[in-house]
Amino acid sequence: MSKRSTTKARTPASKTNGSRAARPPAPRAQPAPRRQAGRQAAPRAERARSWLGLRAALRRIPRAAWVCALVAVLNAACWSILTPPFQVPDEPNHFAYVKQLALTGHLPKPGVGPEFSNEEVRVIDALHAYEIREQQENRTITTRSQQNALQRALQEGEPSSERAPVSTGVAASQPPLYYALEAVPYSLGGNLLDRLELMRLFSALLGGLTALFVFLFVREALPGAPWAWTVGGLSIALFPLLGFMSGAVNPDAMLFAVSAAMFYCLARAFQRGLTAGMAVALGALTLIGLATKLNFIGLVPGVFLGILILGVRAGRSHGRAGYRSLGIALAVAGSPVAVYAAIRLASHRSAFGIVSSGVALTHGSLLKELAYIWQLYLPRVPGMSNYFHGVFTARQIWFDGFVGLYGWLDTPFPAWVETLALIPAALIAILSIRAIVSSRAALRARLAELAVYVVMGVGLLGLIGADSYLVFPTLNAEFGQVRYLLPLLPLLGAVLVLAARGAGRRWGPVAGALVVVLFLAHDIFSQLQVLARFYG
Amino acid sequence: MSRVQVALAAGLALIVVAVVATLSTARAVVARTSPLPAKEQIAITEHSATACQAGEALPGGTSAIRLSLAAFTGPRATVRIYSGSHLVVQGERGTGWTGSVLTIPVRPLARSYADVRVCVSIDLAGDERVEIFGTHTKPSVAALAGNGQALKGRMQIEDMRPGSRTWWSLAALVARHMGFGNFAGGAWNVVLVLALVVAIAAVSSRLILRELP
Repeated sequence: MSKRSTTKARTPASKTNGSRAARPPAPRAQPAPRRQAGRQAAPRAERARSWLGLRAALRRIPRAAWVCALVAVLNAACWSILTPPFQVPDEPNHFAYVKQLALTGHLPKPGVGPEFSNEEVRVIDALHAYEIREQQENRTITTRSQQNALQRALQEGEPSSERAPVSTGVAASQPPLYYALEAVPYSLGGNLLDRLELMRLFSALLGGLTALFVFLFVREALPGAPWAWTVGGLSIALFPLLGFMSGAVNPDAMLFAVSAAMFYCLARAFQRGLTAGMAVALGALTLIGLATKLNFIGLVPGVFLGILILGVRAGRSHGRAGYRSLGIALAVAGSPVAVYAAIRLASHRSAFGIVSSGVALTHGSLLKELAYIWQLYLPRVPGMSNYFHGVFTARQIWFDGFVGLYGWLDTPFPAWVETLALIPAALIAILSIRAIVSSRAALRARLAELAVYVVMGVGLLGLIGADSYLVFPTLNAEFGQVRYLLPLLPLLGAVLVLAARGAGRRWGPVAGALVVVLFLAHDIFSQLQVLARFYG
Repeated sequence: MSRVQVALAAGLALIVVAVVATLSTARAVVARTSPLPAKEQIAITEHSATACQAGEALPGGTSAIRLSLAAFTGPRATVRIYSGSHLVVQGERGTGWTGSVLTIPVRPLARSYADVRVCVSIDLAGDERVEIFGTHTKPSVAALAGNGQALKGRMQIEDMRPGSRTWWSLAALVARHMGFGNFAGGAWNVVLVLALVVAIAAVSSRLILRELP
């Protein structure tokens, strides 16, 4: 949707508003009901116009983007069936959070009550979930008698009578928005496993939104070759780790979607300028992100930098109206956060809860923490202490994790597959670099936009590193999990688009088709790996 | 046919061939396992260490040793198996593994060995800790640390070898297992998954052909 088209779409509405405002007031003698009807008509018309505007905006989204979203939803739905219940990191805790919220309307409090409800404990036991988790030698339940025991546990569960508070463990510190939305599918009924599947399918819809926004992001950020947008959007839709996480009950699913929407809005604003509507969208997305999962705070410095740059640009070109947009975005995004932090500080608590403790130093100097964070992602440079003896983190934690680590991080590919995967990864990297080099002049003009994406990425990596440092050296890299990087999926989409374009005009579409096929193969073999692990 | 059509057809054909080849391989099976009644932590180390366990047997055809070691970013681990003082076989797994089970491939054994000693070496540099799981036993039969001190019990050790049944022949069993412990019981899960995979491949292929010139 271009700036011009937005203006066109809004002009008739503005005129209508103007003409209504210019009407003389109704005579005093007019009957009350008619006056009320007149007052109601204006908002109704306004709503109708907004609805029409939304429909028009949705119609402008290319069909390919919707198809990418559909593929992502189908893929996540497939993963939701394939992955046994509660065999996704922290899924029992997230389920418990939703149940507590749905049944009592209250948020869980850390340390108050048992971790899970009786119903959930019974089902987890009947599924043998803890014997399977992290123990590759154990499979899911495999006999009729075990299934019968599970059925009995499911029938014993009487969720409506369980209103005692549960602490929900690691989930308790997370904000409630995702859980509140998940309370809707939870409330649709059935036994615990039915409700779990309905909740997983809701996450699958969010996976579709992620792919949709990745498509829209690459369309805005790399508008040069429209055919290549499909390569980015479709590859992300087929990315198995997105399917795995979006096929589970986990706020990460919504975090990915909100982050992708944020990347899209920023790219759009950089391409077309910061309007008041876009300022509201950026502010609202920041709020939604912060209310979804605390990890979003890693993106916030980059988001605020982007809003600032866009606001200053708008101010220079449109004067006060431009600065007003900046003010709107900062107010929408910042004020509730500031109020939240002020309330917490006034009650002598850390400003941002677990995030504050995550970024606080717990041991060693700031330089040591920075050196740790550096080495969590990159090779050690001379002068740094070695925090990862014998571990090439970029390869062994991040690349191998990207290739595949499912279940409770207990289902990897064989080592030879991880080595083989280096070949296509290197080819994609070479082609992307080729595309970047050949369009460096255009990139130079967009350095500010690139800087914003870099700050968003570095902010997220820094947050993951700081949190991991909290438990180091008991655990080397507790948060060294690729799923925490998936809020940056739009950047991966952009890399894939660049790779396809890097093959040149003649071979670009062929390279693009092969990239998509590669991701499809990756997805299928990941599912086979999970199948063999749990049911083989 | 356009180049994109050829690339897509070749890519899909390659996936089908690879899937068929993968399903035609034999699943690894446990050839022998330590007859241990429970799985408990028997040792924890934050430094390089070795633990040896006597009284083990090694069936012919063993191609990997599965150990119950737990770490988040695992260090390099080596397994050496001795018959008396003779080194029968050894294998190594590099750094970076994660989980509570570590499988170390070894050269497939031509014959069986009785009463062997299994030694596990962990190459830690004082960062992350590694836990060893097994079953608590009397010190007289427990595994021994490098300094000769007895651990709390015996290590869980499993010998793996390629099975005789391919994944194709196990398809019915896998489908049956998928019907248990899930929201929709029976064969519906299998049908749904297959239908979804086919739909994903078909919709993606159609989109590629429509959008890529």
